[in-house]
Amino acid sequence: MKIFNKITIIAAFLGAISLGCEDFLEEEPQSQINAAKFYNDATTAEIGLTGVYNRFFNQNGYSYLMMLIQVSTDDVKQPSGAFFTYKDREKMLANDANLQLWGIMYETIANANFLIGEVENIPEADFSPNQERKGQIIAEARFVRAIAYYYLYTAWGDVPLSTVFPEDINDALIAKNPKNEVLDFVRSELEYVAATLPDRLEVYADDATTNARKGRGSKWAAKAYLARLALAENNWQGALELSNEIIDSGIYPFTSVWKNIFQHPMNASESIFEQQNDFSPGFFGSGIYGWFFGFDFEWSDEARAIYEKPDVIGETPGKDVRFDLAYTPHPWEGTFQPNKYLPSTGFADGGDESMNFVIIRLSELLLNKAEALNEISFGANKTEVIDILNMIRARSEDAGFVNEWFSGAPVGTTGIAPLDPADFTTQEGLRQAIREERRRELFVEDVIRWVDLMRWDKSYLMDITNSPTEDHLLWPVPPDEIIRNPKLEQNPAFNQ
Amino acid sequence: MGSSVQRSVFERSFVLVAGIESDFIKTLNAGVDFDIVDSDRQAWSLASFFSRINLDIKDKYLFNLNARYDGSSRFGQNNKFGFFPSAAFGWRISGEDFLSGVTQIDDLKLRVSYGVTGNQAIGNYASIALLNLGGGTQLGNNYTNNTGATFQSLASDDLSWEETSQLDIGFDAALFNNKINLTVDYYIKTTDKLLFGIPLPRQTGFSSIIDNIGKMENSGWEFSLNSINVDKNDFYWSTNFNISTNKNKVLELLDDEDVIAGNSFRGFSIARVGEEINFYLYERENLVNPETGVVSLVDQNGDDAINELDLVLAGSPFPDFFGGITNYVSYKNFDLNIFFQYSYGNKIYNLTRRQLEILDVNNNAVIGSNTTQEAFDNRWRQPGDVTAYPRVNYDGENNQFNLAHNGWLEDGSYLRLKTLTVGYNFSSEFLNKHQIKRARVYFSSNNLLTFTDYKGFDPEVDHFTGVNSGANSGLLRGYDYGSYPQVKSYVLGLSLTF
Repeated sequence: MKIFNKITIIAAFLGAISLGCEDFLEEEPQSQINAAKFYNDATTAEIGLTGVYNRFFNQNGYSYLMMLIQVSTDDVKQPSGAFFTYKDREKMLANDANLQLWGIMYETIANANFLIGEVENIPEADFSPNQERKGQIIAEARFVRAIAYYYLYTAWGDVPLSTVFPEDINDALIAKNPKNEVLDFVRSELEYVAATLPDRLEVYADDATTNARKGRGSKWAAKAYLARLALAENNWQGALELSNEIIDSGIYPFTSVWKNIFQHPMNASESIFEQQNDFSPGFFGSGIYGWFFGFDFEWSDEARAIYEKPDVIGETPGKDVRFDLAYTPHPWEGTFQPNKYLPSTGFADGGDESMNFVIIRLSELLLNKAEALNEISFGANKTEVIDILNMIRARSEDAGFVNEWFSGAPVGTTGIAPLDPADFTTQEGLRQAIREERRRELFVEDVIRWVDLMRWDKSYLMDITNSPTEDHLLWPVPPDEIIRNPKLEQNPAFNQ
Repeated sequence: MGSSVQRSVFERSFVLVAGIESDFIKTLNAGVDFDIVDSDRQAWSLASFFSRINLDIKDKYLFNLNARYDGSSRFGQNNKFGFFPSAAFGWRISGEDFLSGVTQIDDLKLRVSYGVTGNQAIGNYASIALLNLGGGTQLGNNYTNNTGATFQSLASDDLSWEETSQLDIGFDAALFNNKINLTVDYYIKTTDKLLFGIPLPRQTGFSSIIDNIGKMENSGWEFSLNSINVDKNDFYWSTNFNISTNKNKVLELLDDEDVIAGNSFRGFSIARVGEEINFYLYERENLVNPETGVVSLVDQNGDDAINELDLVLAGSPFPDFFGGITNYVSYKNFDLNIFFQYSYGNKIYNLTRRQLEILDVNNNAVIGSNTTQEAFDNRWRQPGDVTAYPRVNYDGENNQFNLAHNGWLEDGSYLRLKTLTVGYNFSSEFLNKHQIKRARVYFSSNNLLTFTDYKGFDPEVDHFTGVNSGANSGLLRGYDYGSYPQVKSYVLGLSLTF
């Protein structure tokens, strides 16, 4: 009996200790954050939103994707190394698929999905004094998620569409959605963002933070992407209205000196959406893009041919500043590298030069407008279209342009002649002029050349990428993904 | 009976400052560039209650009972505690009356034990969804000079202790005046609630999630024999021989779904219910196509496509048996110690060869990859060449060869003369004359000889612990990716004691 009592006492004692231990065994992370408890006010929501931008703009993210799409076009002669299959799709294998890029886009989406869900649950009052910020943060996160899907769609076509952060991660192992569903989602999200974000974000109202504003999603960036989507389906009226809204908003005045768009300090007046880089492109900046464009890739001959060039490059005055600024002799190969985003002073010291990637700027919208007007009615709009093109062409002259890649080159460019309305008697003639101007003006910007060719001439695109089928224009799904989620189907072009 | 509580706090700071131009100041403020500033703080705690009973009856029946109740901060809210009992029973049969007349048996003991142990070798916060904060832009989580936070890992709320129960039956025997010592064991080790970082498709936004994924069994024999073969005045010879077998089998997995680790470059390993842990690879045709010089992979399902559906269980990283044999001989003043080690039946995925033998040359590439002499000399060069080594892979003509296939999976069996020592001890007459207590010259060598068909540098690839330790890599066993070979050493020595 006595023994039994002792056991009871000991058991009770142990029970008490083990209850006390429940607290003792609670360890909260100290250098990291417990995601389930973090988002509870405006400050933490902003931190989460910055994280979403960080994933998208990571060096393995947007800029890498842009590079792989750019090397697939006719702007770049031949990507080197393992990238050559992007221009020779017949030789591309499923195994060449870019898992890293696919992964970072979905990291962006997962972080955005989680943030959106968490911020929805924070009371608006906790955002005081700026209570609208709650809705804006959600809208910005939805913007980044929408464009992540836009680029996934552009590269892969059909992709899995996850729009909520799952309770159980296995619920995220879904099949691909057809590309039109992905596109519909992108469109409706961008429409929501355009309707929700204000013309100007109050928190970024002062000039000092203009750069930060251009580096983020905005009402106008959303509309600009929507204009692209409208163009892609030949919705000329829609494209025209969206482009006009942005142009007429007056928030992004036409930058009078063209080179300022691409030279330090960046964030020119006409820039609408621009990746804010800490460093110059290169190993430590925007990563792989700078590396390959800096050393490895060459302009295609025909992309060079559409510019009016100095009589002797580097020695006589330049004509079109757009050529002079974008053209660089390769450091050791004697070829011509595209250098729109490369600092003239090299890669050594990033800080000062911080070369951003200009993703969307007013010129694109002007050219959208010109194209839409010409398609709607050549007869009625010819003069207006030519005026737009000439406004853009007029910037080719820059008396103050110093060609830093050619130390002996004369200062200034002399400009190219305006288009003469008398030279254009047909819609097709003007169409070709608009397309050529668009290519000249927006050379290696974002994924524009690719999506333009996708809508203008798919068979030409198949030709220059050596694609036996249309499916080859889209990338293979990384096989490592399919192994881990058999619901994912490979692009039939790469089911070798 | 007792209890213990432990809490461990880990703190780390790392500061890298460059541009310190003089020695006048020896602290970090002397520098110009403050390149890296980083710190980290983590903690874990463990609470344990334990008791033990030892019972020894007449030196013949030995009982040992243990029980532990451990709580770890690393596991999910409701699963922090685990109960780990164990019991052992020993029976000294040689102490029984019915064996007292058997003089050949010096000692004979039967052992039976069963025990459960817990494993908590996972990250300190493995059950919590973690965000990383700050840390710069390119390598961290920031943007436009604002602090950002992004996911590091998913929550695993129900994460609990991995439990390994082991049943062991064996006996120890000493026979013929201790000239023969024999130990034989049979074990069945069942690991339940296996802790593992399940690879996730990146479409989830994550690359893995830690979970208790299933149940795996390892069973086998362990046999060790020590014998003194000769023991005379000036001649002594003893042998130790041991051999172990291990059979691995996956018993359960979550939803019985395969768990596949690795990637298409490094090769895959798979856990599949009812099977051993296996390499999961494509199967290549042994010879290249004599017309094209290209290596084809076998289209297992005949759908005219080579894809993940054509991967096959390609072999196990576990050996059928392994062990060692040591002979020690001394004759007069000479002594000799030879230790051989062996492993039989395990497969090694020779990733080093995969890296070297693909012979990729791409358009615009200034130089191709490095290669091995064998792959280069024997490569296919013209139609009609019959060889196992394909053509130079110019512009991706032979890209299937680059996939993870069984051409790089090799038999890892080996027999290795691990150590060899020959010595001579000088005689006492000689020593006395020179007032030396002991003098010995010897030659010893490690890894002197290796007999193997394995083409890598060293067949002694760790097939039990995986590439990295930790919960994430338990499947990735038997991979050799440029592992540094062990040194072959020769030592000639003289040892004197005064």
